[in-house]
Amino acid sequence: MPTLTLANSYSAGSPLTPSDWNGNIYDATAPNASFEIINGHLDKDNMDATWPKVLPEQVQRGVYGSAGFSAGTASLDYFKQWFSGCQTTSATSTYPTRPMPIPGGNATFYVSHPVMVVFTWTICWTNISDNQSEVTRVHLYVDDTLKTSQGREVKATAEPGGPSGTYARVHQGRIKNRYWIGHHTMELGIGHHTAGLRIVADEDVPQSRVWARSFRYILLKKPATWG
Amino acid sequence: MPDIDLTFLKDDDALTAASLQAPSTSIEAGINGVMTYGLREGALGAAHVGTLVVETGITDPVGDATLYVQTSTSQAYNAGPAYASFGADGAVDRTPIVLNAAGPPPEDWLKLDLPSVSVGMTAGDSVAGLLVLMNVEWETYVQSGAPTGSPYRLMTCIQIKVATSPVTSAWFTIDRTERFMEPRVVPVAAWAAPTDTVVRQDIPTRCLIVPADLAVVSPPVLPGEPILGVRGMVSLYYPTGGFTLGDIVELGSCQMTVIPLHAEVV
Repeated sequence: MPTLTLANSYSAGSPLTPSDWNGNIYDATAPNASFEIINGHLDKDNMDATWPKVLPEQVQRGVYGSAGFSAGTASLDYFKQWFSGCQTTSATSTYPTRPMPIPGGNATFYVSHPVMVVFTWTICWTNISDNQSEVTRVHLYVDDTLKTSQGREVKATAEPGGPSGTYARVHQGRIKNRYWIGHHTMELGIGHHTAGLRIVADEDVPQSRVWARSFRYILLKKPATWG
Repeated sequence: MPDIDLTFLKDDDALTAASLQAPSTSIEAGINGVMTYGLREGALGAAHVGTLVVETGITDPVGDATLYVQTSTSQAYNAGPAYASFGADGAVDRTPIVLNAAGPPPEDWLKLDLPSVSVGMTAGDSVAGLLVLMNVEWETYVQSGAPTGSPYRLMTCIQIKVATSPVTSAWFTIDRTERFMEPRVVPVAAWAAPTDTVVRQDIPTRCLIVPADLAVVSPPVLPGEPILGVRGMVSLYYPTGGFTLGDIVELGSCQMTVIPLHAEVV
């Protein structure tokens, strides 16, 4: 309750003492009893009744939160030569080839104070392999670090539909394209950050394709009581 | 009129109690009634304002443990629970199952305990709503025999646990969060392995739990009734046929986030 109530009043016939005067001007030992209250102790109780709430224009932009996004609709093709040595049957974190950032599925942003961030994304991808052990995976990376719980994969989307031995492929994209509308929540400190989706495929997958994708980040100021 | 308005003392003016008290009273009134225009545009920075993430009784979610859960453990269900009806509530709701991991403790996979958060800006905690984001990755495949032609759907929903009335610590379904998804099975069983006939899918759900959600549960509870937890649930719905013995439903990587948000409801 920072409502100011001055410690002393002056009345006719009573001597004015220095302590009475000084006590009203500045007394840090008596909270809310001197003009010292303006040294950072004002709060909502000091707002006039005609001012019911803090107005948006009185708050600096981006203080409560901010957001941004990237997106793309062009088809992106990734070929086997770019993932040499990658066996997708192995653990996701041991790719010999670094997963490649997907344009339109990544963002770089600056955080001016500690935040809780919510990432959300939408992506569609597939591959043309006909071997079920050869997959194409999409992973979330934050600050160049793999988030191990945030990975999805698509297995082969083509079947050997031609004459025996010809390996002619029948694409089953209408039912095997992989759609992923994901989210991830974490805390971030002050500084520049990068986050987004990266793709990696088995070295025997001839081609993988990414269609529409978008990536969004929502920054919310972290509570002061959190470390 | 709380503007600070001072009459300056001039030379030869007498210092009286009234001449000293008047400016003090004016300043006091001005500080206790700062006008809207007393704060210039853009005056409040990060050091002045709070956060939209309500921290009442919620500790720092170190390790992704308190406000949100991230996990990639998978679990398979053979002839799992059956979805029976829409909109039922209670401790056992149309025989769903909590999204839980294979190991102990059970029922803690996509379940977040809250420190008794009352939803509604007038309810004391200044929480306008609980923002919930949930992702469930799943697939179904045939363990043996021919594909069944996908006669079932996976159902997911979000539930909340209410503190007291009418049923202590009962779980209620947020009806609008029910989602159904068919398996995606390749019609040509040309693969060598049984898992080759399917593709994994994600069911994403985004929901804002507001006071009105408490009023529509059955039997209704009062708006502002403390919410003690949020969890994700799954079940299986059979339009026709049924779940064959060889069918397997497997949950993959699932995530849930719960954020108590401070906001103005307009």
